[in-house]
Amino acid sequence: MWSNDRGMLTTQTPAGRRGRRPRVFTEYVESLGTTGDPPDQKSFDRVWNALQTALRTELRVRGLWTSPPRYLGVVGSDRWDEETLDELTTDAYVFNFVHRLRSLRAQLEVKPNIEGLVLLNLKNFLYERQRRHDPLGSRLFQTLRSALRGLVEDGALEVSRGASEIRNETVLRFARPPSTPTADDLTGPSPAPSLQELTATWGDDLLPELVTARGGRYDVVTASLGRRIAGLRDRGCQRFTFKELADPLKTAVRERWRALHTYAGEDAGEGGAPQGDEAFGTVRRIARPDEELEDAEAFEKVTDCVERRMDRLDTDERTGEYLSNLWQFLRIHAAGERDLPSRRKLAERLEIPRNRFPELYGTLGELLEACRKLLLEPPRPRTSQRKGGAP
Amino acid sequence: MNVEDRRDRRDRLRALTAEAARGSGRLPDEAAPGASVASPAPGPAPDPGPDPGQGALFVLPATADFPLEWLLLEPSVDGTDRWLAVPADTNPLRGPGDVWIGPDTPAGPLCLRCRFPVRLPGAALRTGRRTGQVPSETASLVLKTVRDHERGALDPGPLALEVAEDPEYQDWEDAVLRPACEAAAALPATAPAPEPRREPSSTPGRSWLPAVAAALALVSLGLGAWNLALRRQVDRLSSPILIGGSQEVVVGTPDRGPATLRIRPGDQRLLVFVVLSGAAADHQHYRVELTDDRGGTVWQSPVVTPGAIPELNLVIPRQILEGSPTPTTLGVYAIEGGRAQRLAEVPLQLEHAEDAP
Repeated sequence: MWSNDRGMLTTQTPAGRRGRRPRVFTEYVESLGTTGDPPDQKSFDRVWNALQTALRTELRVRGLWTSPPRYLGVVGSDRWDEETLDELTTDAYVFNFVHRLRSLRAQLEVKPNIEGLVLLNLKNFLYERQRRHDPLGSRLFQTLRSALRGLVEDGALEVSRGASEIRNETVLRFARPPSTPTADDLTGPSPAPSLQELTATWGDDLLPELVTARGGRYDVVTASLGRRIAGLRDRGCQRFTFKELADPLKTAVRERWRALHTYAGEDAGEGGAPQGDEAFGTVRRIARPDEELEDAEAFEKVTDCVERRMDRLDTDERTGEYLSNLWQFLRIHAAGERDLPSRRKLAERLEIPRNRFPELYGTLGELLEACRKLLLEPPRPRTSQRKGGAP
Repeated sequence: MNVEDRRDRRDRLRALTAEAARGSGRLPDEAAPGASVASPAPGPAPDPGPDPGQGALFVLPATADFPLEWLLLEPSVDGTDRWLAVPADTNPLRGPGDVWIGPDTPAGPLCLRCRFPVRLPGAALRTGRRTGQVPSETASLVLKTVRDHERGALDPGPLALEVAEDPEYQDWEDAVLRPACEAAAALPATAPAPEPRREPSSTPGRSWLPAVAAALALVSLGLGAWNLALRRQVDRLSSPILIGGSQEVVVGTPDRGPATLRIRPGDQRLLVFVVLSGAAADHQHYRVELTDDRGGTVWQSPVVTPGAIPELNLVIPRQILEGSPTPTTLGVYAIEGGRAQRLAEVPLQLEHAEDAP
């Protein structure tokens, strides 16, 4: 039996260690010398196990445990198993104890322990991995959080006290006068299935703007999602956790996105593979470099370059919009898919006339090639041979 | 992957760690770790480049609550003992005005947040620790970006603007960067004055010492009495507690109506058995929570593991039940892999025995 500072008592055995906080990571970093000797096997194994446990926990908290490992850049299996988890742990270890070792040591100069910092790094690691390898999911997550924040700021929604950020388990409830309790207050939150039903069609309405919108248009998408959430109250939903809303919505949007591929191959009748494969192939090669996190910055550099140049192109407004939409689509699509959807389906979803695609792909291909050469190819003599495979 | 492959992979990681430890254990210039930075000389700014302070990374005790270092850029030109600095952290999210240096660059990976410049007092730096040095070209780029930001001439790329809209990035700004800068800006310009040398007690002019001694003696007596009272309280709390009755809250049955907790005159605590029924009993770890009518947490238990009987025994002090905020709901959660799954939220009704029919 033990108590906390409010004098409450609970019986049974606490699952965690009593009193002293664990210092596995701190002791490990403190034990590393500067002589070049590797850490001893036992210390390393302790840290490895602690890191893997923390990673597994964080995957569950983020709802990634039941998602394919490829959403975090781990390929080869459709579900988490010992091998895929080992692969992710390896990358997380490098992220923390190789690349950020100097920073961890720096913090130890003014802190008694760095346990929390290692866990924070781990969260940053996962978030960055997801942004890179599951741009659709992370874009939706970001938009949903923005929309909910807007509703909270407007007073339409209330967040449970003590929650400074909106996270998976954060309870959100619609604001109402405290003197008029509803039946839902007595029966608990609305069950997840009803939210599944309620959000089932949202994917249709949010795509493709969720993916293609930038700047002010992105704000429009966020506001639109906010209106839909606000409407849930009239449909009998009084309160929900972020996760209860995010999970079915993510499923709905992913299904909608996958549906783009249903008609793949239709372009065969128009002359074989969909046009644009070359531009898409370039995007894909840059977007999925299969390298470690910090080494995979090429895509961001090229994206930045392409978008800056695109903004400076001397085209009419309509063409600029088509180009931007197509480019944003390719960026996100390249992270998760090998092939392009059919041109007909793409034209329908992006609202681009089909006869404009060859020209748009051509422009994008030129922009990509110029940026790729500028940023990724080391200066070399003009006489040198280009390697095969590069467009 | 077989055991040997796995072992081989871990050996490679250990070797990488050793290499990183060797590299991160020393600063790239002559200064030893922990060396203090020189105060900027008053008067005109020194020539850039040879100044050992420019590009130096520091951690400060005053901002130890935040996961960041400070990158020194240049001494103040107005003669005050201050350095222009920006926060440096390892969060990979890069928004407008952020300069990123990768892991292959000395002191990297680091994100240098140029929209958050502060002027750190030299005195604060002298109490801090020097932890690294970025290349001079990086320091120059950061300084230029800070200047651009101050002139309103930042030209963030589209990706940086996209990141700026990310709530995760906004949280980082709100929870780390802004409060750290506020803490740094509030640092005093001078270090605390050194303690005056103690003089022998016989020195003339110390006639107040007996009065202080008497006051301290009184304080000491008061503390003694307080200590005694605390010890009695500890003794009382360490004694066994006999409770004349218990109450039950069943979790896992379809009926989740309100549970009535009856308080009898003289009751200081209530013993509540939270009975885990049906599928609710299938978990290994649990946590319970009391919330008020606005959903705010009044109290939360640690994670516990039930014994052979599938129930949790909760002892609630009366003062909590009748205090403010008043708990109105008992939440029961299963904890799986660190994630809480809500099993039930049971509304609570408090009933005093004298009120009962």
